[in-house]
Amino acid sequence: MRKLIALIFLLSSALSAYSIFNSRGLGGYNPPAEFLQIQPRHQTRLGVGFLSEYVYATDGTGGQRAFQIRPESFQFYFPLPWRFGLGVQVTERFNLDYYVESDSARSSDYTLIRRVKSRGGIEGLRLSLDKSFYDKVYVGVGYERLFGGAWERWESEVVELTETTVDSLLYHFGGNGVWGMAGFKLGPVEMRGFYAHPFGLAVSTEVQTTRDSAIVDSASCIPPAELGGIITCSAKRLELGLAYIQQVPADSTLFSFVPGHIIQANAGYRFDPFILTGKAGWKNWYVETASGSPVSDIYVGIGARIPIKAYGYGKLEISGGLREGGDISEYHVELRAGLEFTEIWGKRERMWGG
Amino acid sequence: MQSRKSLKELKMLYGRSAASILVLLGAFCVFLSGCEEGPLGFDELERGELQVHQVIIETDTVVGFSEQIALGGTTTLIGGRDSLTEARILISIAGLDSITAFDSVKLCLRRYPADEISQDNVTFNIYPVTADWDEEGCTWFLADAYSNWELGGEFDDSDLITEITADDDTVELRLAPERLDDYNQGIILLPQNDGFAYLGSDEKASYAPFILGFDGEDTTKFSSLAGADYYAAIYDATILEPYEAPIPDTLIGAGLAWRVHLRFPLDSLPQDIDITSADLVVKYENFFSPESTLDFVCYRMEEPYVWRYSEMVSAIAGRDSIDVTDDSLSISFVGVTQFWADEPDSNFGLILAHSFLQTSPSFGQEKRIHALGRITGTPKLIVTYTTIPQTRFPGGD
Repeated sequence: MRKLIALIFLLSSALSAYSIFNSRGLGGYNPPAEFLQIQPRHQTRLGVGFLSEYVYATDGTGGQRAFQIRPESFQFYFPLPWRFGLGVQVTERFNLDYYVESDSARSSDYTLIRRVKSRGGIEGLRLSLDKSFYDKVYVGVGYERLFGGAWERWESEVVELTETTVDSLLYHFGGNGVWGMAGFKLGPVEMRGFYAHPFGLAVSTEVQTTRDSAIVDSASCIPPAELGGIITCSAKRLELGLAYIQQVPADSTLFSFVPGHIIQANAGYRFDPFILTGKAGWKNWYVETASGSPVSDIYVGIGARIPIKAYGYGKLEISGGLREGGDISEYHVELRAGLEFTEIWGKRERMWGG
Repeated sequence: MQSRKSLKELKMLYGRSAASILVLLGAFCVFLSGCEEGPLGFDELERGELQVHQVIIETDTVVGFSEQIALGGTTTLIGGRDSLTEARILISIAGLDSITAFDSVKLCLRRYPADEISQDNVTFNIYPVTADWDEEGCTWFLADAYSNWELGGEFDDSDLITEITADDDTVELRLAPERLDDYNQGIILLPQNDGFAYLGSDEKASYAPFILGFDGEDTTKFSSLAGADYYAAIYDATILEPYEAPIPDTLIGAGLAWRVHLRFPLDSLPQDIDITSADLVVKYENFFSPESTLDFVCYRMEEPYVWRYSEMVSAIAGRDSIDVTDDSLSISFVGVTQFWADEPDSNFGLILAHSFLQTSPSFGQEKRIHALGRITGTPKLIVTYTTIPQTRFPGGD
């Protein structure tokens, strides 16, 4: 199984990694979809999404370009009788893809260059059960299982000896969390608040060196809790929304987390037969740079939900922004593509795609 | 009809656009995938020191296997001397009773061809040996495996039999019938000038010595087969004056007898390191060699050193080839050093020898003597290493 994981990581390493800041803390944080937008719950939905990202990082003197394509999320929602609903979601919560390289460092008459490439992330399997009362009041609870792995490949080159050693650190993650959400709807205005409480995240580390020896280390930490709310307002063709997420750090000696914040504005306009979407946001990371500077990210995006007759929607979104922390700036452009199959039970007799 | 046509055109147009978009996206991906990677961001890791460590480790154990070996079974007879040692040759002939049946009888010694190995012209004085000796057991100190004799063999130096010079491919010694008893007992060849000559021994099929009898026009070769009409069996050995090395010096040569056991204490190396280089550096002085280059090999010990019964890994751990005039050798064996650093209990040291150690198993390794030199000073192991990266999630909270 571990060989399979390593093979998958190796294959994915053909694509270069991106944010350097993913080397901090637990990696780059991704909020689940239901913390940024109020999801429709009157129909069965099955959605998959892919992300391609291009990043140009610079510290003012040197630069790196990186590009990556990867699956981003899988979502399933199924309405149950008595206005209950069941949701299943697999999404990447913390991204651990990055590439860093050291300057040439000289000691004992030798010059050392270290290159570190990391692939993987902490995934979240989210199960939820929700219910609405008279389409006015909404409550939901969920359980999240954190899992996944990451592979760090350390390449150490001693220039004078033309010798390069390679060490691999394999991380295996496992953890749990719960969350709850509640809200109400008053005419065109809908509000929800949520709180996600994480339990410990266990990490086991396997060190594989050039000579194939292994050392296993175990650690645990508590990811930041998530607290926030969403407000949306719908008109006939237009829908506007504003989401706020705060990441609340728990006491930890493993990492120095700081409160993280995300504010994102969303908009949708029905322009038959498409739905045009737009977003703009600001993210302040839950970790700081090595020099103690905050990491912030500002971004905008536009997209469209394109109806596919008898199936659902195709989703396309392009976004871009600037991520900054200390001396490092990252210009990033993302292209998201996805498919969403929808079905309203009771109104059609066909099964999926039939 | 018109609307159907328009729909068809739209579909075609839509299809072309979709194809164009896909091609553009593909080209975009190919362009972007040519990523540039430069030195950026390593400080953000806050782990993994940027330092190459170097340590020089000296041996805590250097053991020469043996300075006294019986060379009666060697395939080569070495005769000669230099400022450090002297090699004498012992020859005895069993049988030879029919020597009187010939006008003359010659012992023919075969010198290795000059184009095969380089050697010197050496003149030998030949004296009769006065003590019993055994081919398999005689050394500079011993007549056989148990009996001491005068250093270098007991012989009557007042009874010079003859003088010969090894300056050709075949060296002939005329055998006189009245000295038959001396030939049976044995003769000793004492070198008279510096340099070494290499002769085939009775164990060497291609250059083994032989005896010819001449009777008028007829020439008869004596046979070593018992019961033959003209029976004569030749036994020979080299006895070598042990080199009295200064205390830190150790003899090293080819063959089991002159392997050298070295061990380096690696306790000073920290755990969990990546060895980037490990060079065994040995100061060396050539003693004698038939060739212009010397090949050294080292083997890792599998078990604690127990002299000739030591077990070592059959695979060669490292090797070096040097010119005979070089004063040091250097063997890289990163893998073995890494293994010892990871498994300190397996550090039983290594065996260093000239590379003829395993070239001719049919003759037995201990019977080979091909080259000899000495290790001067203390062998050193020069190690460079880097520390392995720290985990991102160290144990603890």
